[in-house]
Amino acid sequence: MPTYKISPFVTGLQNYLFTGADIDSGGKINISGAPGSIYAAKLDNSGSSSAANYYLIWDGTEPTASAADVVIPIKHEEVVVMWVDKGITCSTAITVSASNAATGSGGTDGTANVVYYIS
Amino acid sequence: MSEYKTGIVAQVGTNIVHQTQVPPAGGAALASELIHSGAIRTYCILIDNTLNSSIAYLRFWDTTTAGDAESGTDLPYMILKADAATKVQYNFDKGIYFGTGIMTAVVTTVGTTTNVAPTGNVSMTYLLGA
Repeated sequence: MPTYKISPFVTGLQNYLFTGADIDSGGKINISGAPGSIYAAKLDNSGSSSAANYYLIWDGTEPTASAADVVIPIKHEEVVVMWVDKGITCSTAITVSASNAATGSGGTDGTANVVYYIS
Repeated sequence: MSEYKTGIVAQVGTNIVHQTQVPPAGGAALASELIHSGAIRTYCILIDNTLNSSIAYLRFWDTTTAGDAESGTDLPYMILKADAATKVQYNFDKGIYFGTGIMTAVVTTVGTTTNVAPTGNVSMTYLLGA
């Protein structure tokens, strides 16, 4: 069962900290309720024992298969922290998911967790 | 004044690859390009899209075979985005693992379909390592 939480920050650079536990291919639509940019992320695939999971980001309100703006594969049992200096711009809305397929259409292998820093 | 020298226990990046994608001549299809053969990790990727007024999407395939990295046909392994007229840098602390090799192509279409190159050059710099 996916669980999501978003907390307001006080700094100007990163206004929101979005956490997602056991996320799935259904994803979370419009995670901050507004357009924004993702400047950093913790992509946690430590709960997958045998396969990569793909972490997907859409600029929009639909996690449409094969139409993500950004797709990042994380090897099984690994946790990767990402920084993006100019941010990943989502001018409509930020929608995220995880999947065992690069299309975003399959369930995850094991448990996939994320943290996104959003402005 | 003191000087300190610290040995780096484990090197992170061992290869720096520069790549510039030039738009194909009229009528020609955009072909993906091989930037590394063999298992490797990408620790840093700089995408210079300053010459274009459209968003650029950098597609990656974990392969060394051109027939398995046909943009618009073969499913990319990874996709990164650079805003119009922008230079953006992605950093990954542990690197993104490629088991076979890396082939890339830059397109203007979001997602996995279509194969249209930006009208201007797009330059990339990759920091690769074991």
